Amino acid sequence: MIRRVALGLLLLVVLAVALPSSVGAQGQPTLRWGSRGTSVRLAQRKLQAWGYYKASVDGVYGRRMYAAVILFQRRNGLRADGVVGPATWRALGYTGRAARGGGGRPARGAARSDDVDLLARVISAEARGEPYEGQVAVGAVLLNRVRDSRFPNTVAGVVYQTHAFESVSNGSIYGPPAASARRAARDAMNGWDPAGGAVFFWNPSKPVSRWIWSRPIIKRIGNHVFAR
Amino acid sequence: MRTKAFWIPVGLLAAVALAVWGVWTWRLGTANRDLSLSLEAERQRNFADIAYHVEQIQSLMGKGLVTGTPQGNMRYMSEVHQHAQAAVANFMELPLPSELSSATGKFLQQTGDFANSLMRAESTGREMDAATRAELARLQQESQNLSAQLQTITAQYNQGGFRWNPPVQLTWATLWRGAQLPGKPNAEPQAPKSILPGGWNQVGTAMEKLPVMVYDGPFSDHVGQRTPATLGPLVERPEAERRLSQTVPNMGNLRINGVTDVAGPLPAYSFQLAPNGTPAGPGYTATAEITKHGGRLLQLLNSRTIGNPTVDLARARTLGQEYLNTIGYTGMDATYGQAIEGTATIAYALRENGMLIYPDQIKVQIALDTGEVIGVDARQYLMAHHNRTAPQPRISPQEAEERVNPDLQVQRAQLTMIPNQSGTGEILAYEFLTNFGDDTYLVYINAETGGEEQVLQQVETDGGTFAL
Repeated sequence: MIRRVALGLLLLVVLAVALPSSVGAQGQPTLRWGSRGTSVRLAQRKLQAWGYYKASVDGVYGRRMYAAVILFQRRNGLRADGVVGPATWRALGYTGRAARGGGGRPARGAARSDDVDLLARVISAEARGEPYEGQVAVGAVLLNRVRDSRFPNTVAGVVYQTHAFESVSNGSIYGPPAASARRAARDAMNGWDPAGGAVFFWNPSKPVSRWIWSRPIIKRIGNHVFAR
Repeated sequence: MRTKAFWIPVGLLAAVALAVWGVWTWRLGTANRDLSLSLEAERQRNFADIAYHVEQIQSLMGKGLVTGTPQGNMRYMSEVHQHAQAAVANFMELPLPSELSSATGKFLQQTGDFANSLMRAESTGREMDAATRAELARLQQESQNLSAQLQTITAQYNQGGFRWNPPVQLTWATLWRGAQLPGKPNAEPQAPKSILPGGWNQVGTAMEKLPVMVYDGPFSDHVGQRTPATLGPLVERPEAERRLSQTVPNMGNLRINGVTDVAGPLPAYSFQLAPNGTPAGPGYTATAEITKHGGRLLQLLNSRTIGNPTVDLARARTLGQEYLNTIGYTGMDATYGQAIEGTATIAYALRENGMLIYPDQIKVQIALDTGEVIGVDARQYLMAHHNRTAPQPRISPQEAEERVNPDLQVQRAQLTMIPNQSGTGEILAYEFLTNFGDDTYLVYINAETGGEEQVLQQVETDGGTFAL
């Protein structure tokens, strides 16, 4: 029992370390006194909304901006140096790679990377040990389901659909994904579909419902059969 | 002979162990019951919400039929779309076996999608015609039927005391076989059906019988039935193998480890490729697919490891284009591209008669260490490509530009062919690259009707450009 708790804690630590770095906080440039541009405007807008910055959003890092940053950093347990580096950006809520010249709304790049992460977990849990092609194919099946009228409309909806995937039912999806699974997830997101439009896959050596064999089979890859 | 002094402590220990075990079991039982009750509440809420949303859908569709103006209809269709979306989200959560659920899920999806496509058509000035009106009336009737059936199921739940997730009882059956849950994937298909109230079977059967629905939306029934527009004659396997050596880069260093057949709308030979020098066996690192008709490269996927980048995105664009030329996909223009973790993914579209044809799209992946092409995806191109006549737009570029929101600064305009909502048809449209504040948007104005077909946001990231 204690062992399991320890393992769980370890997993949490691994996730906590792995997640922010996978999202990447390096999207925003470091800002200091004298910086100009849209990034400054971004930070000013945020600080203004939270009541730290009282002057106008002009895209220039001046005296009042400096005071606002120092105050923000002090209140959020950051080093109060007036420099908006990765830690301060994170505290401001900009973790993803923001669009270059993007406005105040979060870039879609971050949302895409969430989907890649989720996809990679399922691929890792469902197709570990399969050929790379088979891993991309599993990712493609999930994305084909998103586009299919018989299934939910979001990646998360498809993944967590009740009893849809064994790895979700038995919890193996919550482990960290293998590196090849991440790459496979990205290829699938970019449109590669070795499954040829399939929305079902199963391992014929395991017991499955008879209904599933009635689906038109497209292809076999490794240990999996893919069907529409 | 053992004495009392031995048996008393042993007996006490056993009693304590039994008591501890008993308390544990009791606690686990309580936790099990709490969990199953909270899950039950969630499932019942899902079900009750579906019944509510379907009821709303049928009443809103009725109003949409009755209202006298397109604006009124649009308002009701927008509400139908919302309720259908919510019903889909709730429905997909229910643990129903696929043979019962897929037709119903599809019906709800298509209802929302149909309402949405109607709304889009009306927003670009096309009014409902008689056929669409009849389809809407039919859908209203079907929703009414579904609504009534859902009420029957609710009654059956209440009478039979049905539970989605009954707490696991300590019975001999549970001890031997474990708990049976509805919709569990690997169980025998009969078991879950027998657990569900009979009303579900009726819904499933009724939904299976619904006619095919065709409209301009991504969930329309004709989308899955697409066939390639044009393809060449049947190619035998040896010929396909010969094409392989002409199309796959670095084929000299690869050996064919196996071939499988791919069925579906684009039948193909799938060649499994392994690098020369690797031990013999079924393992492979790359796959290349050659279509059975026409013998063209459908897909390439190479998972080789990638070293430090020496090639930049701009160079990769050119390399990809040159490669496409050599394998017979000529006239392709790079549209957008991204470089992530040593690999560039670039989308190309056909340029013909000065017009950019987005449906004829091929994606190429380039390893940025050596510039080698490691991925190709020509599925869209092969499905959509056909001989097109020179475009004859009815509206001039100037007239189209007048339709663009005056707050936007137009940077560039060109004539394009874009896919329609369902992705099966094409629309001739002017593409305007515009700036709005710091953001870049692509605005598409229909070159026949002048209607605004689509707005895309172009996002620039550190890795490249893509459109939303």
